[in-house]
Amino acid sequence: MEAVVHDLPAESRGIASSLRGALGRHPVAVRAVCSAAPVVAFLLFWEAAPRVGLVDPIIIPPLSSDAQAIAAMVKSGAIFGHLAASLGRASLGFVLSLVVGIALGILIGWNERIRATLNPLLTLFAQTSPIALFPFFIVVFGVGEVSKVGIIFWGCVWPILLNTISGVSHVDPLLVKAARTMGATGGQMIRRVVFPAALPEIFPGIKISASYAILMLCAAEMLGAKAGLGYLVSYSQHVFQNANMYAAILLIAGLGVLVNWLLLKAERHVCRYRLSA
Amino acid sequence: MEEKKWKIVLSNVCRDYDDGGEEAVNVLNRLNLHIREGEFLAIVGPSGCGKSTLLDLLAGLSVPTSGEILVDGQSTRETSVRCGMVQQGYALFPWLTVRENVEFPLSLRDVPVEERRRVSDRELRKVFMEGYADHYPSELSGGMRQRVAIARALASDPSFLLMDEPFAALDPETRETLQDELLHIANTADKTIVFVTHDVFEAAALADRVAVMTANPGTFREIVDVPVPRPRKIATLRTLPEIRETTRYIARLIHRDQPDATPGENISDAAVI
Ligand SMILES: Nc1ncnc2c1ncn2[C@@H]1O[C@H](COP(=O)(O)OP(=O)(O)OP(=O)(O)O)[C@@H](O)[C@H]1O
Ligand SMILES: [Mg+2]
Repeated sequence: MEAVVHDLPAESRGIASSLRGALGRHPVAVRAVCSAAPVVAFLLFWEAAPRVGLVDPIIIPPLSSDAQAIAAMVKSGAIFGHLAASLGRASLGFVLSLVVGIALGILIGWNERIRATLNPLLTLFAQTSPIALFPFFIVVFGVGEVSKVGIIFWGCVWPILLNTISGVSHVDPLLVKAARTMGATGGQMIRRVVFPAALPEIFPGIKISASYAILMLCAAEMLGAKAGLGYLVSYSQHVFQNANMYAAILLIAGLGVLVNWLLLKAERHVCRYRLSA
Repeated sequence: MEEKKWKIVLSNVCRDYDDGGEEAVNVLNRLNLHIREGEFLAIVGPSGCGKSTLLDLLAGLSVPTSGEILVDGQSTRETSVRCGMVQQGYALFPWLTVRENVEFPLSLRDVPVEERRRVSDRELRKVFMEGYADHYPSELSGGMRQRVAIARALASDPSFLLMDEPFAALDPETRETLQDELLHIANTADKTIVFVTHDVFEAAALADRVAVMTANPGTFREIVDVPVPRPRKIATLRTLPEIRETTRYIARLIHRDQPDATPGENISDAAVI
């Protein structure tokens, strides 16, 4: 894009850029309003429906009372214990799966024979729902933190592992050859060529895993815990504090949106060379 | 001990590709060649005759199906070859900027940052790419990428240089400047250079010897000596009778199957095969 602009005479370059500016700003604003509208409409409906009697306000309280519930829990400090417990479990399981998935994925993907041998087994594991395996985790690791972090790890590791294997096997052999003629050692080849070349394919796996982390977190905490957002949801439901339950659900949703946004930013940064193409 | 003075020795080198279990295709057949230390060898031949395959073998990136290649007296089966290489597909790292690409071979050897910077500045200036140091390869034209690949191959100042049609995508003026630069490198430094091209004049002008290949299977048809001393300058070579004669001779070897197509007065028309 830039190269084209360079070739234009100065005066038409000015026109071109101001034209682009005028056209550019407008659609962005329009698009932002358009994509925000359904969310706002949904939240308004949530607020209005219980008030006008469309739904029972005991079962679904208006959004504002859920927000008040959040504010109350923030003021009392009760929410921070739950948040810390949940974030701790989710990030421990996620980071473990990141390290193991990428390291193992490079090892498997780099060796064609290992890849061909293990592929069916890995596909089988990846397709086995981690929720179905939860009883197994409890039997083996008990009801403590280990089985909770374990189940999050198990859910998260497959997308990262499979995407890493695939990304590594798709690395352009020309690049590997080039680095070899430059005398790259095995470690340099992995760190400086194979990993960065595979990263654009690894990243979508990381994003899927992050959303799995929150999914598995909620499942694990609802099936037996003493703190955490998932526990807060099921406990509040048991004691009929529906506003608190929705407050916890809102926080979980907000956490998911935040993580997704952060990873999108990270991906843009890491893969910026492709976006400029 | 006898091999010591030879940079490269090819003896009975064959290379087959076996595609999916089917009958193996014999791409290179029984190549024999000795290349001196400091020699400039050009390789010409029709598309698909195995020139790139041969360069891969010389770089130790693949090994012969049978036969032996010695580089500095060592078999490429046993030791890896360190060389500067310009590959046909450029092979730039897309996630690195132009400067980072050029500095890549130096960074593998922990060359200090200031030294790397000095080298990349110098090499990028040589190929007229100093204004694009912070661009990514995807933002460059084919000829620009080719020049970055050349700069990267030269950055580590290798004593062994393999170039696969390195000037093919360049405009005539840039090409001539870089040909002169390469002549300069070949004249001054004790570098062994193997250079693949489709331009017969370029081959004769740059090289000490030109290996003319035929296809199916790829073999050396003839190794032609270029009887022109160094130092050379591209501008004067174009009209030099010896170069014209050699160019015509090589072109005739390649077009042997079509004798009518032998070049007339206009060398440059026939020079590109
Ligand atoms: N990886 C491969 N697998 C199977 N066959 C291959 C492979 N690489 C090259 N070949 C075959 O080997 C032959 C020689 O290929 P090569 O790339 O060495 O030719 P070349 O002389 O460099 O041609 P060009 O001038 O077009 O670059 C071709 O017939 C090609 O089909
Ligand atoms: Mg080729």
